Amino acid sequence: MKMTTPYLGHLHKAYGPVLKKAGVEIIFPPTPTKRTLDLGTKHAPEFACFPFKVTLGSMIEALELGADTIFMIGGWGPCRFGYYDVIQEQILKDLGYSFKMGSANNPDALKDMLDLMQRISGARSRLTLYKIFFSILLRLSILDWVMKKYFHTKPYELSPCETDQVLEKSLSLVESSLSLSQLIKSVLTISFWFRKLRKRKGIHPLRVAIVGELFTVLDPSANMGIDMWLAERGVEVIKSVWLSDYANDRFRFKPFRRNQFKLSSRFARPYLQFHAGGESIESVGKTVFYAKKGIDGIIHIFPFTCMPELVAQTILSKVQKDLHIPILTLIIDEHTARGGVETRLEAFIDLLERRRKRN
Amino acid sequence: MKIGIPRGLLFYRYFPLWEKFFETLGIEVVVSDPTTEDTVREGSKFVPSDLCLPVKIFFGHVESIRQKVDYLFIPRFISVEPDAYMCPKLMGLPDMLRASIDSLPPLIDYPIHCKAQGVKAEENFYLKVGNIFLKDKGKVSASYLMAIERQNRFRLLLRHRFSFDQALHLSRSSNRIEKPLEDGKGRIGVIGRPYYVHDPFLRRYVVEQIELSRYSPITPEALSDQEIEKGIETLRKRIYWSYGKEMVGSAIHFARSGLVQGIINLASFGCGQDSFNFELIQHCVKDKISTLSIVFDEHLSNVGFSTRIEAFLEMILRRKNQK
Repeated sequence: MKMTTPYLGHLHKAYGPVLKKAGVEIIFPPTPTKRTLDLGTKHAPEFACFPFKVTLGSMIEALELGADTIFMIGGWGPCRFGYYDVIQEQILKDLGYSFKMGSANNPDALKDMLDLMQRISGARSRLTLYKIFFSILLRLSILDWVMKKYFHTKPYELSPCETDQVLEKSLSLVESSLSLSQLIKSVLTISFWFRKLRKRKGIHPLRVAIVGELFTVLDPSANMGIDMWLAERGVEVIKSVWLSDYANDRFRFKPFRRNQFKLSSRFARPYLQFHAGGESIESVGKTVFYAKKGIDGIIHIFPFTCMPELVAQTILSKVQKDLHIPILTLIIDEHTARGGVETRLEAFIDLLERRRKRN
Repeated sequence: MKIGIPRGLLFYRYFPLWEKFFETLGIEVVVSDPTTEDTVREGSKFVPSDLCLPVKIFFGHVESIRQKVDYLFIPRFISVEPDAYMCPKLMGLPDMLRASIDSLPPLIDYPIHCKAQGVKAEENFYLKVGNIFLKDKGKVSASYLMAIERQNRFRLLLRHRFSFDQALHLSRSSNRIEKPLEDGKGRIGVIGRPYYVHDPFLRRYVVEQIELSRYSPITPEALSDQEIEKGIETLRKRIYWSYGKEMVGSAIHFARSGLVQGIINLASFGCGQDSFNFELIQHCVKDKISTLSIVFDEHLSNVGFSTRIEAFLEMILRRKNQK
């Protein structure tokens, strides 16, 4: 079996080495490019959302490289994501590819996830499956922690690119450490590296939160790296959703991390009383949460025709008025050009800087 | 006491129930006027431009009656079946209204969530609503039963292929149901959510045009649950949207049974679920029956649609003659 699965943020760095060690042959699709998106757009339904098109393109490219099994997470709604695998399988089979589609139908249930691990790795013992699954989750949360540290440190760096070098070193260190003891050692080393960085003192960088749909917030092929772009310009970036938080809300493997969904629900309550699918609750709740903590601005990013985020967008216009917080809405589709987005971001940062001077 | 019901979205599925329920409780029901261009214009003012047309129209209806009523009836439809959700926009509808329109009358927005609370959730919802106005529990549940009876009669009339207005009118009397008009040249399946198919403005007179060409339109509501269920059994994974299930199931049934000569799909621009539902329909029926997909937005011209429908009906006629 040569398995493949589309990219989502740095999830591949978490599961890749673990599964390889378990003897699974993985074919990583090429990093998504214009071609990936074009392939996806060509074969996808016109109004399918952006993540559908990118992942479909990635699947085609992986199949071209010789993959024969695709794994895709499913779900039971109300967002469209749960039905991706069925439509994608149908489209790819119509195109004449022969492969097997393996999907986990209920990513919220531990049983289904273990079942997925079993089908991927072929391991028989339950203990091994637990080990594989939780080491993936652990690595994922360490990777997220590294990214958070990077966004936190970057605006204060003294000499350019130093932080980026540390980030690169750290990510590859996490990628190469497999056992628990190695991971703990790598965490210590990485925090040492970040501490050792020379930092500027006495500055107060702008703080901007990126809220919105999971894929567009996390994946560089969807958000065109706006998080890095902002960090480069001395803005401290905070993200409302992380994959490890998403997993932690369901499997509780991080004892000291609060349930982010419940936290967001509490803050969203005056505006959105029921979870309308996807990350709508997180988008609204975290916006209120950050606004109360005195953040400078919010960027709300989501794919065109995303149903839950459209609900959130409608409600955020009220939050914006009530809490006096600037919100920039970025809607991503296959026509979105980087230049246009950068211009809007520049204008937004200017606005935030001026706003801060005035107050 | 006046309760306002906007003429949009699930009005087209549940209105007979709502009407009967509130009438027996002794509450006056105020329904907004039929959709016009002004409704769209008013509604579009409040919401982001990417939202779908039916929601915009709904906002227009709310705006037009909000000052005339004491309460607005906007239930939060989350799921009406144990295994399927409604649209996320319906789940967030009361919140979206509160966020966009100022000085609303109090909303009655209790949730209906059968997926979490079992099939009883729907009944409990109505009992809760009734209790706002009347503390007498026995009377509330009696009026709920009467309302359900009216709703069942309404659905039965739709099954007999009466149009929405006729069914609404006839459901109020208890006369025997008789078959409506003959089939004419043949039958055309019109597949879409109830709020596309039954709103004469939203459907851009598609149904009227089919009738004028002496075909008779059939909606998914003319099929029984079993027929729809049989249709979707062929899919690899159950669809978890109520209306998605209804539309895909009925399309498959139409194609298999030869009940119709062609299928016309109605969807609104940017409808997230329908992008997948219609892809499934296309895939399942493409070599059995001709289909035409029509996508609406707020550009209000019927000419383009009527040309396409004319051509489609023409094509069906020719195919029939070739055979």
